[in-house]
Amino acid sequence: MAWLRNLTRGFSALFSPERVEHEMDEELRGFLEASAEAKRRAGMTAEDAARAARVEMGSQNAVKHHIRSAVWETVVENLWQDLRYSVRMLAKSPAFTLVAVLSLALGIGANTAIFSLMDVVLLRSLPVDEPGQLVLFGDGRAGGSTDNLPNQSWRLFSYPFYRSFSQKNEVFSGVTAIKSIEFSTHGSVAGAGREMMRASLVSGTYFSVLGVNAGRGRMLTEADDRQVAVLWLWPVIPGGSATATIQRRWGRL
Amino acid sequence: MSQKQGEMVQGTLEMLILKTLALEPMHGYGVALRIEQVSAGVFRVNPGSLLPALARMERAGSVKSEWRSTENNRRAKYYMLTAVGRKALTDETAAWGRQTAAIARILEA
Repeated sequence: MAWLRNLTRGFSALFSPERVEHEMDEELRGFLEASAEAKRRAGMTAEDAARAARVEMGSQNAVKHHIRSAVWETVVENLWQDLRYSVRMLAKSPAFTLVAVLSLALGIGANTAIFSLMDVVLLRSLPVDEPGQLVLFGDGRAGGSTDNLPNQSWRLFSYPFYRSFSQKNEVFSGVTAIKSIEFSTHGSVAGAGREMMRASLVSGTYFSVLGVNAGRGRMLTEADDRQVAVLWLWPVIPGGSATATIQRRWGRL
Repeated sequence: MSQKQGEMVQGTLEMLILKTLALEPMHGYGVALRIEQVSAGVFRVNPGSLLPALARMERAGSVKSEWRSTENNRRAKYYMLTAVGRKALTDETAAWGRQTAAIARILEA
């Protein structure tokens, strides 16, 4: 229980600094007197003895400083004093304080803004295996017909194109397809009420190519093509991370 | 390397204070005087190291203090050993004995 005593003594000293100071002064005075007394008994005159005792002790403030540094609450006390001093000094020159606070605010704000941007654009990558190796054909959003696009560039690929492309693939470790238009549907999970769900049509290789595994059950495989849907429930949790709260359940289309 | 007159061997001050207080409760100057006398003037403890050491030991619980009046009817802070202090003294004395014996063996080898 030594730490408890240390703590309580320290706090009681913190809240009665005058008593602590007074006791230290009294102890030092007593020390000096006893020292002088011993020297008088050894044959010095009263005046010489008092002087010799003072010389032996040296600066009383230095001694008190050493005593104070032996206990932890001095650190707290000094910190509190420094804090009050700085607040007083800041209050004395409000113009300087305003400029300093504004510069700090602008500096911190600008840094935060830039970091947030960089974080989204550069640092936070897709939550899949090896996001750097993914290649997206087209822009993944186009709708319409696959041939004769006005600007003659390929942005949209038919499912038969995907089939033959993946059969003849010698370049990529895997190919997957996703229907470029999201649609919503209604469904119920495990007998719960029907709710609106956002669905994507993907090929069976989708999860294996991305390297995403199921939290529960299993993911689609190529054998499932055109038969099964993976239901992703995204509970709306304010401030929560959607990816962390995905529950995956299986159901037949 | 010669030990200067009056300079303590590092880390021994608290042990010497404990030993001194084991005899009877004393005020700060009493401890300093006693250490100086018993060591035949080899160790002089100045208040700048003695009083902080006492404060530290009081916090650690090995000594406790009490304001009493001296033989000349002055108020002085008397320090006395606690049970923790007694145990610390026994432990430190034993450790010190082992260390000096080891050092002596090395020096005589």
